[in-house]
Amino acid sequence: MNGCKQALVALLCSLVIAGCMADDWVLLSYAGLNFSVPPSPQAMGVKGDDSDFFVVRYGAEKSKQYVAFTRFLAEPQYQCDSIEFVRAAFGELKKTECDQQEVTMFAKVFANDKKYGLLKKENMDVFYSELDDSYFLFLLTPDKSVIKIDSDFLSEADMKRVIGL
Amino acid sequence: MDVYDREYLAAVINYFWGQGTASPQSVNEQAALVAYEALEQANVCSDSMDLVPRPTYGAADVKWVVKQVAKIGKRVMSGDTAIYNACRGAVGVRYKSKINEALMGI
Repeated sequence: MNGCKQALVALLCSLVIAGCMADDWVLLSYAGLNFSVPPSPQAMGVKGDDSDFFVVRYGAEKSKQYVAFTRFLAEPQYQCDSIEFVRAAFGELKKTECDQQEVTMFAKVFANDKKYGLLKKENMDVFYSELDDSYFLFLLTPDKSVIKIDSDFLSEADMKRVIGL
Repeated sequence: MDVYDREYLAAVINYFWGQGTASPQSVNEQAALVAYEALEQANVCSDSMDLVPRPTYGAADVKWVVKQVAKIGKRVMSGDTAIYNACRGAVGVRYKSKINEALMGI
């Protein structure tokens, strides 16, 4: 790992793991916002790229029982920004510049026949989607970005607690 | 997992989750399992066909999974990606955390 990447990882870690105890959950700062996650993780990881991927794992088995935070970045094929894309995919925008096929496919995976909806968190809209094996949150932040939080084991109530609802 | 399997598996991962996500050296069996699961789920986008074969009996063995994903990787590397194009974005989003975890060994 070169020095630049080490510095980036260290910076991300310092941003992300600036935690202290609140009840029995751990406060966590990610992308300038405060969240909380359950205590006693087994492992944590940060990927130092544009997506700022950060994962906390609770299970003994690798890749199981995790909570993950990622910046949801617009892909070139979306043809619109990430906020517009998420709003369109969850049916909040009827008129959009986004690529219709991409919107339709995203809706097929995260909405349509799934349990999904919109939560309000102070000045943020939060779309949620409950799939068979995991729960997703898409936070539309005040700085016009989207943060995706997903977990394969936390309940709906737990996921709300992660974002402070 | 041989050198060719690694190259083809990296090709599948980089196609679905972006160039630079994986290298032949960074892929592993867990990543192959996630890629296979993602390709299975990608069926929701195509409606008409399975994008990966299903095991004949019972649960899929990891070595069998690696070979199936490698076959798809070979097609991806040859540019034969049309049937995956429609849903790679959405399926990529759904499985991004799992593939990152697998590649990081977390």
